[in-house]
Amino acid sequence: MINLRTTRMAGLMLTMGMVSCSLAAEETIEKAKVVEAEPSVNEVEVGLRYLSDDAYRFGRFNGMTDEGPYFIGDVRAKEYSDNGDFWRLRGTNLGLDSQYLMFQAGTQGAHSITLEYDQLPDYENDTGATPFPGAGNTTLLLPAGYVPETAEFDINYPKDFTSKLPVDLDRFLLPFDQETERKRLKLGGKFFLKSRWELDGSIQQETKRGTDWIGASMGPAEEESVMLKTTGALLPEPIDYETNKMHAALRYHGKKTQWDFNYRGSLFSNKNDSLTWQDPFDLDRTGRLALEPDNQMHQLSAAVGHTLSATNRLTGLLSVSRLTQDDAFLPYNTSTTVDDLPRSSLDGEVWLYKGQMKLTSRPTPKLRLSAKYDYDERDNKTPTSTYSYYVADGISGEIIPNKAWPKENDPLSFKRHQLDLSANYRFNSRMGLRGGYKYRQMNRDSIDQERETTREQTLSVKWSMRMLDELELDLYAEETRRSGSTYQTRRDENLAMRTFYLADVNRTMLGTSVYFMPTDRLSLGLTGEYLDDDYTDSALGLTEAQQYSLLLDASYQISERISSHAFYTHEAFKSTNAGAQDKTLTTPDWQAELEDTIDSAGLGFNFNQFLAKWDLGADLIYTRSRGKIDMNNNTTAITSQDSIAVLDDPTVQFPDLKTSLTSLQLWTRYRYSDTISYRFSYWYEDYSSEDWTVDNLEEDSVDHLLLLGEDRLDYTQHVVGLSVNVQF
Amino acid sequence: MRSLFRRSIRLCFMLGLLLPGLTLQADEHDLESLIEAGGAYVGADACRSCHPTQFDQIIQESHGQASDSRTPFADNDCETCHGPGGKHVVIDNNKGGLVAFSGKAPSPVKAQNTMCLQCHQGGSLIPWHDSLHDTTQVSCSDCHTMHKPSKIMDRSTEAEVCYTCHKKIRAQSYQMSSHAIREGKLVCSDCHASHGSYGPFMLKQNSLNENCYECHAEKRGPYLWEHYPVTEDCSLCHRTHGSNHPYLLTKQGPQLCQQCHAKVRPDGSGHVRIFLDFEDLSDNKRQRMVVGRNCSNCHKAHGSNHPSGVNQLR
Repeated sequence: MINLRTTRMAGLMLTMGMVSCSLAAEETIEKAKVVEAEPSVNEVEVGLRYLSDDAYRFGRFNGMTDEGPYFIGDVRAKEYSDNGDFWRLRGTNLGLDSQYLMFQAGTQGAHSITLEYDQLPDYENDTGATPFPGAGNTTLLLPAGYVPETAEFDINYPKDFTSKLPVDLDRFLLPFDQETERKRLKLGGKFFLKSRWELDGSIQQETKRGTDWIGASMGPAEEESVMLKTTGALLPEPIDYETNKMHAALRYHGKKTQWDFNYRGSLFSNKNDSLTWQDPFDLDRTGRLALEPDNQMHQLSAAVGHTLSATNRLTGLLSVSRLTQDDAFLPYNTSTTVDDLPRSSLDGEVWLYKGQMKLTSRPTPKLRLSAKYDYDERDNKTPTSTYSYYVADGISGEIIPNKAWPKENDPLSFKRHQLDLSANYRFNSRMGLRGGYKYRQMNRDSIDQERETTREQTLSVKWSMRMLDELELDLYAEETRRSGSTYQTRRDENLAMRTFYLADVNRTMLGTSVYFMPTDRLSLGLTGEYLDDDYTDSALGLTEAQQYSLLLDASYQISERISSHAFYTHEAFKSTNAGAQDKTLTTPDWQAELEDTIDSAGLGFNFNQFLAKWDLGADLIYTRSRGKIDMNNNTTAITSQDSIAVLDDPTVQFPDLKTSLTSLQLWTRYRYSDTISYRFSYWYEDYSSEDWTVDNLEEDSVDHLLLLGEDRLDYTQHVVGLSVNVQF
Repeated sequence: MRSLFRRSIRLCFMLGLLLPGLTLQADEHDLESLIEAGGAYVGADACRSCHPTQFDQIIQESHGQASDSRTPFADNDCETCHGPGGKHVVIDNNKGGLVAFSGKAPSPVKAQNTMCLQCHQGGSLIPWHDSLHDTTQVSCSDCHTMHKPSKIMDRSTEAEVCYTCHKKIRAQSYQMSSHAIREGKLVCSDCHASHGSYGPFMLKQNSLNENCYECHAEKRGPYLWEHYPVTEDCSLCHRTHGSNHPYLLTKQGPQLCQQCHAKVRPDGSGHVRIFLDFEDLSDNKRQRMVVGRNCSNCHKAHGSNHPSGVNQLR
């Protein structure tokens, strides 16, 4: 906070200083020349903006979450000398939590170094609360005086669940902000060697720190009826990541042949290996979660491009990567030790192989042909062991292992082959036709995988026409069929369930785009697309899906000084899920129709010199989205489940999800002189939402679940800004 | 499968051998044809005498640095890119065979790109041929400006250039869940290689997941207990540019998970049909799977490295 205030104060002083300087300069300039609105090579912009309200979501990625003043800092500069020496400087959002700064220097064609610093906040929500003091720590203990309530005996849950959250939970709640911040520092260098060789390298360190949420469950005590005996809690998760990256490339830029050899390394480290928490429903229970493990990736690749002749070119890639993960295991639960485990760490090792070869050719000026083959392999060499696991940490130390299903880990390996063939023929300057065929086969090597092999074949066609000099039309279509080897349903899963990305599917895509430019100043565009997925063999799970999109856009150069644009988009995503409550049912006893619709519209203009020294601009965006889920119950198929009466009540439905965003930005620039201008800006933004998953739910609204009790993050924000831009 | 691999390799090689022989006629937009069309070289002074502004601009940019032997100005200056100006200087109001990259009558895309590809075929340009932007007739000058600072080369303005064509992506960046695109903190080129790539969707890495791991390395694993769709393809559950649901999910939970999971045991235990009943939130079997983070109230979707994390519960 001190730094922020200091930054703001420095910004204010700097702005005042710049304004003073510019006022002094005014006296020495009799007539300021109006210059064209071209981007300048070098410029510095400093100023202040003021936010009318606290709005956490408004500042999610820009860092401006609170009412008050914020510094405006932007710099863009570069310089070349006659011998090719140069430097570049670029800075944006300086002084904010989202600031970026880049400096580059060197001799063009010989060598250069680049230094980059970047910050990225992710301020998700500041309205949550938790009874755990010390959010961000790896051990969460409940405070003194916190005593869960004893619950009345419930006929639905006869074996346990005799405790609830305290009735005076509010007394223990502490604010909890879900927020993380990334900081990235990168140093790079380029060296241009003789004979068209180039050496490129960089190292980068990125940290991500803060607190997020994580779901945690507790129980059961016995091996049966797992779902009936667990409690859940949303906990503050400590985030303290560091990722170090290295990159080195050696490139050859020949006239006919080009090579690109690369090494990439990525080392991820999590300072926290676990999160231990006291059960808010039973203080005698303690649970422990594993957090994301450290891992590494190293990759070597070689790419080549070779021009066979003036009309034929061959390109290829070979790449091999090694992924490893060997974080020490936690014990099975809080009452056992690592000595009970079959091994102390995973020693996880995955090799990724990729090969690609592509040949493109223009046997005649009108015909272009292309053939591409891709090979991808994930070879998972992770050792397997049998784990006598515990579903979750249990009650009072009375831990019973899940003896029924000791489980061997089953690392996933797969191989993917893909062949793409395409032909593009241009009949004349007004008409072209493109056709393509794609074959994709994927083989998965895993005992638990439902389908070993899937095959996809796709045919595509695109017809492009210039019907008039001012009118262009594209029509395109694509048809895909996926099938594969025998489908084997997962253990404990309904036999009629089909995992959608492995299931048989017929996919149809149709699209058109029209581009109309009646004059040099006006252009109009329309794009419409339709996509349909029909899962032909799926009785349960995702059975069908459709997507529609419509895009209208226009740009109009009203005069030499006035340009404008407008757009409207409509997207709709529809799908049907089917489910069955009884494993023995092969027909669904419920269906859910899901529909998301998003409409967006935008309008903007730029007016250069609307008065002698003044420019004006505006940008308006409106977005509205709706999410619907309609549940349909097939009562004849329902078996002896409880709560049937409620399920069959047609009035019991999911509420709609609703969001809307209106964003208006207005700005004007006063050109004080050739080198100095002032910018006044106004930014209005209004966001509202309805999300039934969090709305009106307190931390203890649902039995046996501790929520975060967040509020919706609606806001109305007014931002005014004043800055001075100096070009040099 | 091995036979398919062999057949594919054989097909590519056969095409490679046959296609050069199929070159039936010269292309008027080949480099040789373009150079021949312009006539003789006239030198930079001739260009500057009529186009002083453009000349003064480009010598402030990287292409105008004669000290760098790789640049146009170390070769034939303006005519390296625009072609010889011999005919142009003697014919009024006519390009005289010059290649124009902007203005009211720009040269055909093929002619423009041929000039750029004289030098730019290496590094990230290796996979340019038959990339999406190549096949859809995008010219280099649609995105790049040579005489002035190029918006595409500046992170704060890069997306504006991409939105010229990709307007739907701009609209998606305003949805309730999105990456930090409209704030300019994540730019298109952080994920996409606009000159072509070896991965899907013009992504910079070899696969979609490897692309996501560039920023989300903590999800890379390998985990002891994998969630297979996560290992295979992040986009099975997440959209990339914008979504109506938190965390860029494709659907609202628990319906998202129920696309693949209807796990119910014959004795009635396990997951049941999930619905929301605000009148009876104490029905913990159901409601705790619906509100809050729904399935993620208890489960971790991306995999688990806990020896007891079989069910992704920890």
